Amino acid sequence: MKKYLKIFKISIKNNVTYFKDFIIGNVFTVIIVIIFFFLWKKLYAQNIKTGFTFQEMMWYLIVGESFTLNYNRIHRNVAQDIKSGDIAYKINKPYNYTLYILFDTLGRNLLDFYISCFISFAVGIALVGPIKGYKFYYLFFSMIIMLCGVILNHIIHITISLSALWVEENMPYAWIYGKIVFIFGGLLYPISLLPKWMFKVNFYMPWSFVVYHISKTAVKFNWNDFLFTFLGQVIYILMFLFLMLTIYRRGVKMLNVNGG
Amino acid sequence: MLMEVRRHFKMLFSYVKFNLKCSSEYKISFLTQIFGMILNNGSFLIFWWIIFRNVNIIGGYSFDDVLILWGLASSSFGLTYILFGNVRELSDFIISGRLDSYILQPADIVLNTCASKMEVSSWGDLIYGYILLILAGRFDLKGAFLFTLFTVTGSIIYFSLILLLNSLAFYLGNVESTKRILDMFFLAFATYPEGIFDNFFRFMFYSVLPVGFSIYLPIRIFNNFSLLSIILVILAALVWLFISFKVFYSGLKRYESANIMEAKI
Repeated sequence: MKKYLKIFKISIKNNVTYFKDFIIGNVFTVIIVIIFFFLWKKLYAQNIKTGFTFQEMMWYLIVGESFTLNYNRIHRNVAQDIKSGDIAYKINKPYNYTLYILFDTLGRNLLDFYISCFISFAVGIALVGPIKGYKFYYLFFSMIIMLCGVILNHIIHITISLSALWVEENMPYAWIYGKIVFIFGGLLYPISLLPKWMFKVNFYMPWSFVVYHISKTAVKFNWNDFLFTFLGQVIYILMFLFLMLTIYRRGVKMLNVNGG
Repeated sequence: MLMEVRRHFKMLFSYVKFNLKCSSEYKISFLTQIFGMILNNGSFLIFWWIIFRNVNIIGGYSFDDVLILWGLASSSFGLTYILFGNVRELSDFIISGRLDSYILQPADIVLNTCASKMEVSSWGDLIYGYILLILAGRFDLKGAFLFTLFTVTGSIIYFSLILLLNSLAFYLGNVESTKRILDMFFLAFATYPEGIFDNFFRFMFYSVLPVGFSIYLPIRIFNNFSLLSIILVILAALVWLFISFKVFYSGLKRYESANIMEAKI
């Protein structure tokens, strides 16, 4: 575990190099939140039924936006390692390659995530103010499920990126997953707005545990939702960890290293 | 003057033909990029479909209006990067002093530099725009003509904005962040109904950030035909084009070559 924590720390340091890109990304988040503010204000003026008040809806979307991290680097790095042959140097090191990728990208993305949360929080306060009756300790428990969501999303992305062991180009699969989170995970709107049958199906899917359940619980906090989300995340984290390690073990056996 | 224009149109046509041939050499990758972009844009359509299941009108826009809005934004963007794939990178050429080979050629520097590259995925954006026009039920003679006209004017305005932002590199040096942020502003606002924004933003849309002339006013013309408004859109496109070229050529006087040996065939 110590070596993975070291990888994690080094990656945090490296991340400072990309700080400018990160700031630009956050400006985009602010623009999107402002646009959502105007859009949902108009929708609420027409009495749209969402199960959230306007203020709660804005916070729901803001919490969701703070999850928008740079996952592309996972797929890019894995595909690059395989195409260039660099993977030959990484799989014979005294660590598991997939766990190395996990801690490396977590190190890079977690700092972004916390700053993103801070900026989103500031935008939320400025636009709609704090939710009435919201208790401070809700934030602490919300952060736990937010963190689990980020970890789960990383593991799912790595699992998908391992498709490169068979097909080299993993981007299409990553892209499909990204769009699923976008539409059926609750990033753009709460999935309760979907047609009933679609909502029921997506409610239990892993992608709704990386956005919808987290944002909903964070905004309309109650212990039942918290426990349901947390347990669901733990189950999916264990499931995808197992899947990731199994796929890697099978894939690496048939790997033909190009050059190196 | 007319001969010059004709010559440059010919040059643009040759660039498109050449770039298209180069890109389509890898057919699978070529088609994947185009269809990938169509699917990518399509995912936003689901968002709007879900929203319009709950309300009929948003900011004065019906679902069909949003289709046209997305279609125009997508087609204008697509046409810009099909014809001028290098315009986003122009500031890099300026900062690194790599404009030399373009300056030496007997063609307009802006058009020559920007047209020398094509973004293949932009074909997907262009096609997607017309698919939405069909889905909105407006693909008749009038609809297709207006849509094509506004795709061209929208593309001119968007191209001018990006050219202007990149030309700032002559004066300010590295403008990477500024141009990316304003580019994002333009594209983000261009895909939401005008009516949802307040007066401050609407003022911005018809001045600093020309989304109004490239997307919003054309949508109004689609619903209420007005020759005067069409002339206004065309004029706005020409004014933006004029200003951006002026800024580029004024800035060019400050250009410093890096004496990089580069062959451009």
